[in-house]
This record gives sequence, C-alpha cells and structure tokens, in this order.
Amino acid sequence: MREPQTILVAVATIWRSGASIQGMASFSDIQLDAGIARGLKRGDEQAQTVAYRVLSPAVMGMAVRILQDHGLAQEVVQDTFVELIEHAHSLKEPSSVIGWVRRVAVNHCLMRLRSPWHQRRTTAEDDGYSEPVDPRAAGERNDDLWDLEHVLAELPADTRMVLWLHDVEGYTHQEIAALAGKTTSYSKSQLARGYQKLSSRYLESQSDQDGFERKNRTQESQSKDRAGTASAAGNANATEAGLPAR
Amino acid sequence: MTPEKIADLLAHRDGERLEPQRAAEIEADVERRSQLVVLRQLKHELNELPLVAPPPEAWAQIKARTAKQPSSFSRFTQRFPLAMAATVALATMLGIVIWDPANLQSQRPDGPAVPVADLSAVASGSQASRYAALVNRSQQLESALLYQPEATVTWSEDQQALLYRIADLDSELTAAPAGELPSLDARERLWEQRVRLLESLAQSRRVSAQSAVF
Repeated sequence: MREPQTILVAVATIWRSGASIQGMASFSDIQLDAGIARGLKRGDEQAQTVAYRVLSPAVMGMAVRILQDHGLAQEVVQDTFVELIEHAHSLKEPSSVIGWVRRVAVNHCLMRLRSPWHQRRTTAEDDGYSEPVDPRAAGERNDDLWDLEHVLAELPADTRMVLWLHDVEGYTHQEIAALAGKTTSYSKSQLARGYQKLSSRYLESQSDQDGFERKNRTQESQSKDRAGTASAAGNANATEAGLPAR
Repeated sequence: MTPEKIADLLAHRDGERLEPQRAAEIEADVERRSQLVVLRQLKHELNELPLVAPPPEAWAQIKARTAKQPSSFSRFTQRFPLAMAATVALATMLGIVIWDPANLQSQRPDGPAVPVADLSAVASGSQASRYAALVNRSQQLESALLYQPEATVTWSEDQQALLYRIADLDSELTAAPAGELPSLDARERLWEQRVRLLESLAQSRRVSAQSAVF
C-alpha cells in the first residue's frame, strides 16, 4: 500500500534534472520520509523513484568531488541504487536508509579509487595529461575568482577523499582510517595537506582580488581626475568663447 | 604554513583535545588566529558546494539493471538444456563436488574465503559440463575476491598485472558480435585461463593479507 501524501512531500524536494542544487553538499542535509523508507523495504517502485530523486544528487555530488570523473561518478550512482533496490528489503531500520546509501556510495568510490585502472589514470593526470573535472556548466565558472571546485580537483585523490569525508560528510579520522585501511595519522596528515593547498590558494586569490580592486580604484580615481581636468578645461574654453559653462 | 601547524589548527577548529600549551599558542598568535578563520571559511564553503544531479538517463539504466534478468549461468542453461540435464545427472552420479561451502568456512580463521577446487575434478565430465563448471568456478572466485576482508589491502603491481590479463580475457570473451561467439573449445580455453588467473590472484591476495597482518 503506497502512502501518496508522504511520496508527494518527498517529490516536492528540490529536483531539477541536469542542474546543480545550491548550498547543500552533504547527506546530512537530506531528509527522507519514513513512508518512503517503508516503501523501499516493500519494493514499491514509486518509493524507489522518489528515493533516487532525493538521494542521487548527494551521491553524484560526493562521487564527482572524490573521483573527479563524471563517468565513474555515474557508475557509483548506478551501483549504489541497484544495491539499494536489491537489498532494501533487508533494512532493519527504515530511518537508516540515508546512512546506508552514503556508506555504500563511499565504498563504491573507494573501490574505484583503489582500482588499478583509476590509479593508472590519476598517474596520467599527475603527469599533466588530463584536465580536472568541473561539475558546473561552463557559464557558471569564473576563472579569475577564487574557485574552490577547481582547487579541490587539483588535490591528490586520497587527499580529496579524506577532506570530503571528514569535513563534509562528518566522518571521524578513525572511521576514515578504517575505510582506507590506514592509520588515523594518515587521515590527519591528508586533511592537513589538503587544507595547506586550499588555504594557500585561497589567500593567493584574496591578495589577487585586493590587487585587482586597488587597481580598479586607482583607475577610477585617475579617470575621475582626468574627467575633472577636462571638464574644467572645457568650462574655461566655453567661458572664453562666451558660451554657458556645462 | 607547514602541514603540522595546519594539523594543530584543524584539531583546534574541530574541537579536538590539544595540549593546553599548543592551544594557548594558537589563541595568542594573531597570524594563526587569522589562519584559523580561513580554515573555518573553507570548511563552510566546502559544505556549501552544490549537489550534482545525475544525467536523466541514469535512472532508466538502474531500472534496466534491477529488472529480473537471467544470469549468465542460467542463459547458458537455456542455450544448452540437454547438456545441462546431462551435466546434472553426471554430477549426481559421480558425486563430484566442485565447491564445498564447508571448505570455505573451515578456512576462515586462517585466511580469506577462497574456495579451493581442483580443475582436474571436472576434466572427467563432458565438454558442456566442464564449461559450466569453469563458468561457475570463475564466478565463485570472483565473489570470494570481492568480499574478502583483505580487499582493503593495496593491490601490488603483480596483482594489477593479473587484473589486466583478466580484463583482456573478458574482452576476448565478449568482443565477438552477438551470434558469432567463439567456438565452445575456444571459450572453454578462455574460461580455463580466467579461472587460473583468478586463482593466482586470490592466492596472491591471501599472501598480501597475511603479510599485512604480521
């Protein structure tokens, strides 16, 4: 038995196909109605569609940021939701759906990061053969300003993964260490390295921005001075010619 | 700023316990306090990055994958129903046990869940039965590899080479257009190679896991 009112509530969650949704990067910002979770458990197709629409942008967003590859990120989305559909009946607690999806998606991202194919590709990237992926449309980018998305893409894959899991998804260093099969020191050092790069690029962009604004202000005041001088000269000429001053 | 100093600032930012002296140093230092502000700002911006919607066709692909489809093994049984019937009968008569789940369980304490099978055990069957056994064995090994606890151990170069060879075999097995599959002999040889490579890989992963433990 479907629960149409709860389904409609979830459908009302922002969903624009092919577009990005501003200002909420993490799974913790998402809420899934308990009715949808129960529908998933029963294998209800409408509940599956709604769960996909509500959760897939978070899965895709995380996978794109960690893997920096749209094709692989789409694979992660597919694999995660195939698992959800096939195993939802075994979910003990309906409220755990979001956590379950996040855990499965993170595991799929890690599997791809570890795969020899991906490692070979990232080695090629390090050699400068590949451009970082940007999830935004071309019109949304501004190469002159601070661009977190772009700097994130320049970080090594492991660093990106630790940064995202720790600071966006709220994983602890212990949890990341367990996932990656490394120590907590490894997780902490990757996070520090990530922030070292991010903060230095951020400060550079700020000083560039300051310089840009100073230059603009100087140019503006110079053009005002020139305009003032020209106006004064014009007025003097007009008076000399017996015309009213502007 | 060094990664060590950033690590201290991050710990402070995230409310982790720091030595009182280090925390006091951060509080007293104007430059480090301003760096702390930058780290907080960056974390905020990371959390403000937009979600990304998958392409519209992704859901249809998921639905297609979750629609009930016969596995490759059952497709085989549909294609060769008589051969399968003969195989089952022969296997029953001879009591051939290709894979014993108990064997898998008994190995748990010492190592990974890699079922041990002797390919010579299936050599006595007909070609169709050998073929079915190879496909089955390959699937078992692959599942065992996927769900092994040592899946987190890094893949060595040799293991990666094995994976590439398996991928090459897979492309040979699937490259032919529909209806023009290689002969049963050729496919059997490919599957046999695949099983042997997977067995080498499983063995290698087992050794890696043991050396990681010790």
